Amino acid sequence: MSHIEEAKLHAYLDGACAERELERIEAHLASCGECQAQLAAAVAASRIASDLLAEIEPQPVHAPPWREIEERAATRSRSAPSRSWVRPSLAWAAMIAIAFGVGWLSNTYYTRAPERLFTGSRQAEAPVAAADALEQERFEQAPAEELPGAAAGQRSAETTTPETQAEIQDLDRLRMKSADERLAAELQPGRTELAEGAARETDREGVLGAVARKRVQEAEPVAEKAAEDVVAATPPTVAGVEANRAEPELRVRRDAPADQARPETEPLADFAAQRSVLQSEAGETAAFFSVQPEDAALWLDAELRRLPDLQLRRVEVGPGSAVQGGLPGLPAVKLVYEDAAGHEYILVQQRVADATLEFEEAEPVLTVDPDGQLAYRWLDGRGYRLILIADVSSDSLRALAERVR
Amino acid sequence: MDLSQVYREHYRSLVRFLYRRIGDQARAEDLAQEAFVRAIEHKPMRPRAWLFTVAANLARDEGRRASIRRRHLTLIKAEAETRQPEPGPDVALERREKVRRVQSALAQLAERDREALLLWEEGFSYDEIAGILGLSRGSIGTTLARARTRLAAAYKELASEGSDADVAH
Repeated sequence: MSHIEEAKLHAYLDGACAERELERIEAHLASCGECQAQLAAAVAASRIASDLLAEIEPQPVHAPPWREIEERAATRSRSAPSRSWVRPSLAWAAMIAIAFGVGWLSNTYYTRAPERLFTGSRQAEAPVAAADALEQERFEQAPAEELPGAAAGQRSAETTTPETQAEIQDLDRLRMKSADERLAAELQPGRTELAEGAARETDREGVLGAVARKRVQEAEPVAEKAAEDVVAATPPTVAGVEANRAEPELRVRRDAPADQARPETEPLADFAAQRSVLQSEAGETAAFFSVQPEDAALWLDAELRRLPDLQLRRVEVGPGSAVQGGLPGLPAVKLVYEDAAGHEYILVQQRVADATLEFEEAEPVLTVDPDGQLAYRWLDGRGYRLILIADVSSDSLRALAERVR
Repeated sequence: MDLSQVYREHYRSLVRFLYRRIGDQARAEDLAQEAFVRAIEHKPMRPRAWLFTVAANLARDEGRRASIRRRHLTLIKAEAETRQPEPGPDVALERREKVRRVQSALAQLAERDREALLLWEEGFSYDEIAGILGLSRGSIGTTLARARTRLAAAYKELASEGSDADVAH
């Protein structure tokens, strides 16, 4: 019969053995001198350890009244009603919503307001921004039979009263003066389209944070809703028809150069557009916000790398520049895991397959932040830049990094 | 479970666990209170295990900050060590020295081993320790065996170094 392991002897001493195990150990000990000596050593080690720890005894402990502890908790919940990570997320959401709002304000007057407010056509408007001018050109080159609402739109333009025309011109003058208009002119076409969708949600829900989150989850339905709204306008106007026609073309154009244009699913096109928003200057300073894992994969434009055997608590997306050691200009996806004891493990990933990295950025690096937090950063063979942050030793961190799937 | 009752029953145990872990009683009391404040906010289902898990995490953070402070204070400490220790009763000196050695020996253990040992000393079962430290139950015997053996060996080594130094003086 084999001897009893030291661990089992300690478990036996500590009364932590199952009954069957207990009988087996006692039977073996009765006839094995070597294991009896091992047991005596285990008893001695256990006693010494307990005696030594008993030396580190604090002075008499003063326990403040429970009421004081409760008051501290109440004070804290009053002064900090939200978790610290919520604040940057809200700031990020607010920035996106404001950017969308600005885009919507400037663009909707040109593309939607005439049909709603004045039943006029775009031909009756002041000169449009560069992107709209391109759409205008396309429209003019399109065969007449493709534009069922064109005739009606022209008729409505002809019937616009002089008072209405003056009203339109006043509005245009005001808008062209505003800083918002200048900003909107710099936006990519795709961004203005997204802005319309976001603004619609803003109108509907009136909650800025919810808009940003829902944008990710509902990008596709919102885009479709925007198109439906245009189609539903009666009578169908030039602007409405034009918006319908321009939409698929804009998606291909903004997402990839002409020589790389590839057929994309609708969600991919929307997420590519949102990613360009994320990479914009405004996005670079923002923090992370939560998304569904499948949406995060769309932001990354690649499958997510994962840690095995841990509970995934949340997935967040944000700009690379908001991550210490992250690559600016690329979206970063943050997977927050938790083990059974509540320890947090964070895996940040960026897809760099098409990006060029400086040599030192491609090398594995172990960093320690001012609070002593360890982070391991490396570039893997599949074109992912990965950062693993966990409250473990550097060796464990490296070992964990090797297990990333 | 009523948290105020848990506080009455386990506050001292939590302070002792933290004190053994970080070696500073005032800070240990602060962290123990912080753990209870967080318990009020989170309302855990198993408050005792939850409190010790949070306390272990707080102690780990404290340890990291302390190591940074130690690096900054290296020069000051080197200067202080050149001075003669304050004269005092022999017994108190001996006891202080022993406590210091035990703390040093404890600091030589791996973090998981140290925490498992301290949790065992606070009366946690193998299952509870496994849950708190995120280890399998089967590995707790190994962890405790290793922790006890190493603690005893490290203390013996430190004690013999101390007596050699006394002889040299």
